[in-house]
Amino acid sequence: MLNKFFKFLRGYVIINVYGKNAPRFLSICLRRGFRIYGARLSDKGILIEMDARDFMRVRGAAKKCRVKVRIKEKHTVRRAAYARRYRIPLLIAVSICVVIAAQCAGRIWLIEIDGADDKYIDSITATLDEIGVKRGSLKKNLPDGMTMKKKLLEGTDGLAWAWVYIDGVKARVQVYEKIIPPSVVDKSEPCDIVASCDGVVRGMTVKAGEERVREGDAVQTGDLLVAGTVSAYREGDAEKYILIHSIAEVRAYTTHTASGEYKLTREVRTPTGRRKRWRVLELFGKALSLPHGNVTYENYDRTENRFELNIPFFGYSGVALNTVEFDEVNVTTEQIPLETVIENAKNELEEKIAKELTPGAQLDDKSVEYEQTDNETIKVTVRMNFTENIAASVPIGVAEDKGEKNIDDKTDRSTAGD
Amino acid sequence: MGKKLSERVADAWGVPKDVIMDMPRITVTGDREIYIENHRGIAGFDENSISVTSGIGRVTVYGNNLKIAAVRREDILISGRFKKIEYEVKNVK
Repeated sequence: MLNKFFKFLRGYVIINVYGKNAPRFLSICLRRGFRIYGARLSDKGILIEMDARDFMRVRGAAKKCRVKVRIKEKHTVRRAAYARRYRIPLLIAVSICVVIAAQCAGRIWLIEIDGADDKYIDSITATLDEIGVKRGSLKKNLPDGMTMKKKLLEGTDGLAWAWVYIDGVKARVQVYEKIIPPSVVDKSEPCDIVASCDGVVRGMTVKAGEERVREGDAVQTGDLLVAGTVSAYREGDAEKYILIHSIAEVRAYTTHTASGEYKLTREVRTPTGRRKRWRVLELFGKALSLPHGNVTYENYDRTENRFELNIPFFGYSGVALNTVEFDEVNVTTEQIPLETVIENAKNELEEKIAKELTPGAQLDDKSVEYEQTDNETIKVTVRMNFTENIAASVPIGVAEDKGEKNIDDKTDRSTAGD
Repeated sequence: MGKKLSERVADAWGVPKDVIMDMPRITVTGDREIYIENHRGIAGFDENSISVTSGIGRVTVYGNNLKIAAVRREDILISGRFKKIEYEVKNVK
């Protein structure tokens, strides 16, 4: 292809060489350094494709070999332009297309935001609008990269870094979110410790606060385990209480249960080989749906592909072809062995339970039960027992005190600052 | 028959013989394409054969729809459907 293009640019002629000594003529031309692109037989002689400039020098070789040379075709840029000199409307249309393409190429037609969570998209889009990065805006009018970065970081709180890459007519906004460090526990803030889940207390290590439960006690979620309201009693003085930040580890025997319904059959989708394609041409942000038929398949899989036309040294040209493929499938159901269903269900439910656990929880025992709800479905229940730390800090007054003391009855209360 | 000096040199030094001995290098791709390097010109051209002269004599390619797809001073590319390649090696003393 490239060879043909350069051949055309240089200009070449196809000559017909008549006579017995045509092969000799070809050899002499080669020896004299003429540029010959190819040769083939014709009805009367040999057709030779020769460089247009070298053709001017063939007379001597032709005379020497006693052959006749006739031009059959001429292919040069000048000749092509001359032959099309009356096609003014075509020339105007081509010129208009070139001008439109040049204008469109100088603008932004597609904006992509990479690396941002959905919650930041609106904010980033608003900032981009504000700084002029929007569809149809001129690339040359955009502010410099550092300014755009600064504006983006100022406009959206959760971003650590941002940059706008211009790739042809596409603006790709790359952002990185801030990694928010875990909140520091304020130990000056008084708090109680409550049970984060139901369980039976097996042991307690209280560093600060007053125990409200003992080993062997059964507690429910939200029950007060360690109180941050501590009595500061001194003989002879009135009864006083101080509020402190409770610190304790409460190990309890807990039970976690998860269950779900699972099918004993699964869907098998087998492609039939029939396929339909819908194509949508995207020109500088405008979608043009190309003619297509209706999808009459009962069952099908849908796949979407996008091809962007990139120009070397420029990038995305603003022209893209979106293809939606519909592959017809036969849907059948297949029986799954009961053991497989239970094993899969167990793994899934264990994963679900693991999300509820506190760090450092130790598994004591577990059981899996199932019951058939109908011919195609079973209900699987996984029960797991752990020993884990159920202590959870809450502000004082939120917890429900199950102990014998009731601090609400106390009239004289003082804080740690008193 | 004894070897020529240039052939001995090529053997001893491990240099390709087409470089030292002025032999043609012929590359055949299936029965569709023949690439001949180091040729000395085209000796004959008709519907069913193309003859090329070389340092070792005439090499003739027989086949159908033969054409010279590309030709330069040193190499030639012949395309078509080949049947055979024949060497008419000149006598070397």
